[in-house]
Amino acid sequence: MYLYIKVGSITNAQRAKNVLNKNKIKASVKRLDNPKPGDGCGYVVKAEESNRNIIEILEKNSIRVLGYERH
Amino acid sequence: MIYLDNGATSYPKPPNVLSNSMNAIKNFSFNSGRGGYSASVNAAEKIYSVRERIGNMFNFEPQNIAFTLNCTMALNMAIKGSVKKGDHIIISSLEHNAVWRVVNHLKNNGIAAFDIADFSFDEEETVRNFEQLIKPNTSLIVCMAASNVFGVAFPIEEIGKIAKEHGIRFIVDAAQAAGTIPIDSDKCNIDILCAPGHKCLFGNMGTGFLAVKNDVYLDTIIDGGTGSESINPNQPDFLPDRLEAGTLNNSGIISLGAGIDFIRSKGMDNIYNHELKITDYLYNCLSKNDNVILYCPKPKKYKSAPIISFNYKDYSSEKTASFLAEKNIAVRAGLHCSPLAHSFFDTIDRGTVRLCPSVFTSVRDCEIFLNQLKKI
Repeated sequence: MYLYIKVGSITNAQRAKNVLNKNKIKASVKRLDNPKPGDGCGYVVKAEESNRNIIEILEKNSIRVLGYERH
Repeated sequence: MIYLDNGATSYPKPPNVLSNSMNAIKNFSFNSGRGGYSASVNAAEKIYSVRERIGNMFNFEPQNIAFTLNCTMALNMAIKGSVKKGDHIIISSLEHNAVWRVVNHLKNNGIAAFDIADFSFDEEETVRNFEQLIKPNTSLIVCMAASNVFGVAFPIEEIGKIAKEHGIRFIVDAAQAAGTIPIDSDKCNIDILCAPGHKCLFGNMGTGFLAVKNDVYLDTIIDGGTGSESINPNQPDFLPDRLEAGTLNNSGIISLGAGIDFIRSKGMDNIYNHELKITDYLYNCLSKNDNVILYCPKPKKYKSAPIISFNYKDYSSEKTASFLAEKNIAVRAGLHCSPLAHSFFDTIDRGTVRLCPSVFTSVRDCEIFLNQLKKI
């Protein structure tokens, strides 16, 4: 299971990736295949672990989460 | 060439800056924040790592570092983006035209008024001079960390303290200090720090940045594509996208990151000590020459950037610089885009000759310069 997290910009995606990596969660920056207008830049952080804590970790680090999808 | 014009831009660039610049042009010249292909994402990672390095150096969040073409652009964005109609601004008496012309523009357009706080060699007096000018509508204090003409440093920690006490936004122009004199934005209560990338940070020309604290909201003076929220007719409200419309200068930004790596590897304190040792040597030799006029006390650590201004006999500064240029010695003469500073030090009529050594300047370079000066 993967979690695709929408964070609105490439910089936020890089920040989110670094924060997750520091928390020992494997993550990478990807672009959505079919981004909707409200998905921001179309970049997402792909976390290789589907766990709600991930969102909490990001929000604790002041990263605005616009939404997420489980795959 | 003996290069003593590092206040204009640093030269030479460190070897790792050259190699990283070439590598960036070859391997990272893809539009970051736009494409989903790996080359674009890799370029974005490189850019982000430079934001982190700048953030670590000056104590800002990496996403709050917005890249610009130079310090002047950063200052325009910081000042014009901060003021509203009816505001009052305080600047120092040594400010560069990158600040003075901006506040004059705001004044001439009926947007904001400004006052000038005099520099003093007595730091407490300088701080008092700022504080005495505060009015109920003062919204902004803009001050350089160190003069680009005379090298003297401002007590920005103390000025930042009074700005905070009065709830006034504090913008620091670190053009001659970033990379030499340590600056901690928290300690100095700096809301916005503006700096060039191509001077003491050793990046390529065409680089600069503004670093913004979390609670600072800036109006924009440049709007456009960011690769984010493209459906939104307005500029995004988050950083750095809000302040970074258009394609970034990847190779320049990556060179700036390499410049910071160079500073870290050498140690910023070691670089500053070397530059002060050189300015100390130059100052001592110049002060023994009866034909030389100096305007400031000898540069001291944390009280000065490594810069000396002088004149020779009653010659115009341009005449002295022109003679040195013929001998392949690069110095800058004139007003250095800082007529305020020259008015303050009473050198407006002929300007000064400015000497700015760098970590690459040797005592031997200084001897060559000093020997040539004696031949004028």
